[in-house]
Order: sequence, then C-alpha cells, then structure tokens
Amino acid sequence: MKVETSLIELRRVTLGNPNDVEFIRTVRNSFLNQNVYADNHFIEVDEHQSWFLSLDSEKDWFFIIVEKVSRLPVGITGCCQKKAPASSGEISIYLTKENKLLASPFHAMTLLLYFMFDTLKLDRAFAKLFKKNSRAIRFNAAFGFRKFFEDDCFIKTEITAEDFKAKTESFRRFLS
Amino acid sequence: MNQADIVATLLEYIVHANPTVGTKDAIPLDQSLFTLGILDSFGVIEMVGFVEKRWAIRILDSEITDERFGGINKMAKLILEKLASDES
Repeated sequence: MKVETSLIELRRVTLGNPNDVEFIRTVRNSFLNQNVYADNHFIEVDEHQSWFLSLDSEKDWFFIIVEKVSRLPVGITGCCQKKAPASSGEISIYLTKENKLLASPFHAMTLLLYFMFDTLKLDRAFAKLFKKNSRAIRFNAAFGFRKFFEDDCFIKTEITAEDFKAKTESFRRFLS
Repeated sequence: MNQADIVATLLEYIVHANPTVGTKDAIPLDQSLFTLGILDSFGVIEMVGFVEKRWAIRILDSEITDERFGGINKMAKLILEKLASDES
C-alpha cells in the first residue's frame, strides 16, 4: 500500500518485508541521546520483533518515508489506533539526515494526517512528545496541534480533522 | 530589484515570522537556515509561500533543497534567476 505526493511516498511496513521492519529499528536507535526519547535504551532485534508482532494490522500503521527523486528511505512515520481513544490515533514521525528535500518532513506529516482523517476517517490525532525535544514540539505546533497534557517528562498534543484541514488548506498545492 | 533588496526583505520576513531569532544581524547569510534550526520543514513551506506571493514567481518542489533554498543568499539568487527569466 502506498500514499504519495509529488515528492514522497509512504510505503506501509509489513512483516512480509523484513528490511523495512529492520529499518524502523535502525532509525529508532539512531536517535538515542538526542533529546528525542525519555527511554534511551538501544533496541535489540528480538525486542523489536516482539513489538512489531504486538501491533494490530487493522489499527496500527507504520510507513517508510521514501523520497521519489532519490528513491531513498528518509524516515518512518506511523499512526497507532490500538491504544488511542475511539476515532483517534497517536502519530509518530522520525526523519533521518538523508532527506535531500527540505519539504520532505512537511510532506510526510501532512500525508500521514490526511491518511488518518480522509482514509481511516478518524476525528482526532494525538502526539506524545518528549519535553526536551524542542524542535519536534515546534514542528508539531506549526501544524496546529494543541497541548492538552503535560508532566515532568512529556507533553501530549492533539489536532482535529477540521483544524488540520483549515490550517493546511493554503498549502495544498505543495501536495499535488 | 537587486540581491541586497531581496536579502533585506527575506531577513525582515524571518525576523517577523520567528521572533526567537532576534535581530536581522544575527542571521548568517551563507549558512543553511534549516541546519541552524531557524527554519524547519513547515517554516520552509511557509517561506516559499511568502516568496511566491511577494515576487509573483513559482518555486518548484525540486528547488526546495539545501543547495538552492538553504540560506538567505541562495534564496535571493534563486529569486533573481526567476525574476530574470520572467523578464526575458
């Protein structure tokens, strides 16, 4: 399954493609000690496999972000409904340093949210962000996510389908 | 319209759009604003929107790279190229 814009495509990760599953682990581990996670432990192969097998294929979606011009995988993104309230999903997005196009993170986030709201017909998207990850917090806020929870370690933000579409309507031409 | 005018307008925009940057003098002209953390991917898209509207030009998706749009001087050069090609 593919979701795409003119610049990137999101290719769904399945067990049938072990390279993609391993790519998620590689990307995840590449962000250790960069103020991205509260839990900074290195993820081993077995632990990663167990996590992937625990996902619900009907409700949890992970994608490889691929830049069309180079055909390079430049990150991962996902939506998990399994542990989220009804009609909502928790998002994640991690970009490597490989992306050649400055707009790729914008395209990936926007594609994921359109997928959640238009294809999965969800009403709301959540994000859980490590408080020290100021860059991610700013990026998230730029899309219109609003903070609704905060503790010593994390903030949680949310956005509705209506708010997202109102915010991004003027940018639709970049997604053609 | 020369490069200095374009640079001044771009700096004005960045300081207005991102007040945490401080003053225009604090923005290096030849470094990537993306690498410096002054712009992120969403900010780049907003900046492209501003540039297109201000100078009535079109920036292609393939031109939104560090090489072509990463720093202030690179942006100004690209804008000048677009304006020149419109005139010819």
